[in-house]
Amino acid sequence: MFCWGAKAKSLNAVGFPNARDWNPTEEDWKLPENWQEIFLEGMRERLSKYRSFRLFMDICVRCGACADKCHFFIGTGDPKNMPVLRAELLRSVYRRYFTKAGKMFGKLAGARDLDLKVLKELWYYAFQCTECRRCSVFCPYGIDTAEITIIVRELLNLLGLNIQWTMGPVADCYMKGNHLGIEPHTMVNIFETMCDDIETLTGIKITPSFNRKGAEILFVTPSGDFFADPGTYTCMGYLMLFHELGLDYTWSTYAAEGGNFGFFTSNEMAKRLNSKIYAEAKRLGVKWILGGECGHMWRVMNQYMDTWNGPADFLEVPKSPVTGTVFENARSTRMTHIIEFTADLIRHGKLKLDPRRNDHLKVTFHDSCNTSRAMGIFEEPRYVIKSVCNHFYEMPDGTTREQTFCCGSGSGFNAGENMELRLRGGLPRANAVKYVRDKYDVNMLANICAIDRAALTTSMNYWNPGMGVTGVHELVANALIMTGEKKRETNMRGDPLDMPVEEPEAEAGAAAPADKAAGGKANV
Amino acid sequence: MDLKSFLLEKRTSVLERWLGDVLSSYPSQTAEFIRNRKNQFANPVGNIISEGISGIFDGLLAGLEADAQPDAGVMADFLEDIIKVRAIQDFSASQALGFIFSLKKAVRDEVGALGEGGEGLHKELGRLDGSIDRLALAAFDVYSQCRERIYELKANEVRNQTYRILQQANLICGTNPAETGKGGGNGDSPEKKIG
Repeated sequence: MFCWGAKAKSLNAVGFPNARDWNPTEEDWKLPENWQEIFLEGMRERLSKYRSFRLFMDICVRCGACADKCHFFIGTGDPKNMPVLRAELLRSVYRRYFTKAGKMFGKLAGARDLDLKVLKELWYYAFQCTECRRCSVFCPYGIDTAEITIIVRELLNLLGLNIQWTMGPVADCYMKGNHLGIEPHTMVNIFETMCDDIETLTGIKITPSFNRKGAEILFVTPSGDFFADPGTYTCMGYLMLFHELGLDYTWSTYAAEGGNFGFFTSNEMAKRLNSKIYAEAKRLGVKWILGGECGHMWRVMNQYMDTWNGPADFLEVPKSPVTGTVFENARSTRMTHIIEFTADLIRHGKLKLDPRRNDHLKVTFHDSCNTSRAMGIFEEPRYVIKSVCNHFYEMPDGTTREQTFCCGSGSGFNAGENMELRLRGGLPRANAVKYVRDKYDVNMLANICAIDRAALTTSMNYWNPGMGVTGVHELVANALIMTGEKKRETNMRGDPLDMPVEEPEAEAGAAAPADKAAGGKANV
Repeated sequence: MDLKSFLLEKRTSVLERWLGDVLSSYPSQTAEFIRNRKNQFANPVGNIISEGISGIFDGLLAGLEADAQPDAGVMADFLEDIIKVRAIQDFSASQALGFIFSLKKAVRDEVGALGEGGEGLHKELGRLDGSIDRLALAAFDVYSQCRERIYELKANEVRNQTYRILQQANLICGTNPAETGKGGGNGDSPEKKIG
């Protein structure tokens, strides 16, 4: 079970080494003649560059605390998916070439020669780790096994050994600005279609602006929000919310991707893809950046962006123009998560909401790995959901918050050819969802991650048929009473509302829509 | 003592033998984890298998009543839960479903342990074997449905990932509400019909 190898055209697009078409099922992986030398030199370089990497290679005592915490071990039953043993695949090579004991005693010291079999094993298991970091929560030494996987992938990348499902989006993002290679005019067309749907639903015409200089806020979200259902309903939720607030913001067709699949290839590639966000913010002259619902996007923004491409001293500390709240937690990056922004709006009573419009839903919440373990965003999404829905149920302890289970498809391998592997990895999460479905009749799984919305839709259709998947801002949009809206007949998905719908009050809502005031022109 | 009474008395022991046989299809470290970790959320595979074989066993025993037939409905859910897991794990079809037949061995080992005293029970085993065989046939159907569902999920993902773009390129011009951007999405996607 594996993903297809990265193609030459994708590797060439970003100047990655050993670009060639290759097939993991064939014996010959078309490696450079001195591949061992390249790999070991890459390892030496990273051991000296990243103190954490050397530490993680040295300090594991094989206590086993992490062993049964990985969703891939739980779902596959393959012992090499125990985080300790997956890391051991690289540690054995480390011992052989970088420790005295390993050099002298070889196998006796747990060392292995780096041969083709070992290399292929490293490749195979590097793509059975979603870098979710659940194991690291349980490690008494704080070893972040995800960082070991990240390094393994970097080393493999030096030999041109990546997977196409990651490399295709990397190349497209580098050349066109987003993972699917959607060009500016198509992106605008997609938004026009979504705005048509919103007008059908609410009677309100929204005309968002693109690449508008002088806007107060640049909004960046993963492209998954505007090219695939059910993410599109969340994206429509953003559009409706911003319109209702009269937010002075702009979309960008250049920084058209919040996600960063470069992060799944190498640190340098992630930095290159990320750089466009600050560059675009600077070019447009915005004051701060607001970001949509995504998982790994936020790990990148929160933990790496500042040191990669900062300081963003040309921006201001994010301040909500509606409530006046200053987001001190974003003082360094100058970029705020939309769930914090919306929770703040609700907290200050700035939105008119009718949660009864979500009464057809019994909702549970899946904490995304990155927003929970990398950012500690636990309360805001729950607060927002409880404000816009009347029926919310938590999944059991041990499966939520910092101990949340991964969707099973993160870190760049939500591909089709490895479907069974994804379903194995998705089992622990699906099992907890099944529990609340059976106990409380839960029928909707909410989350704040674009990959979750894609991956969990598939996972639920296998494990828990009939379970819907939604972004939180789709729920917000259902409940949002917009100024001048017509009587809502359906929810965002066009399904009839099963509640007595009242006419909206004339004075409902907030300020005048700024995107209208801004002319709503696409400056593509 | 008839077979049903005997198996009820030896329920724990038979299930332990049967579980052991199911777990022998996993590597030893994994089998140890599946057997010993009792938390249903930390160890869903173990919980599903344990609950499943218990439910199937009880269903089969109920079917040993005079003139009774096994309640296929009760057993079907347990059967589906187990097979859903094994259909996506690294097993061939025969490996995935072999656990059903290993119940015969678990029962025979238990009856065999009685020595000559168990001869009377041997005569009743044919009826239980027939029920297990029928269960196996039902299991083939469930397994096929699971595999078919996986292929449909693959197809649907491709469809969902490209739908908006095809729509923009005017390559989709259906009149079905699901094809016009309304009423589509997760709720109306074809896979809903599968479950």
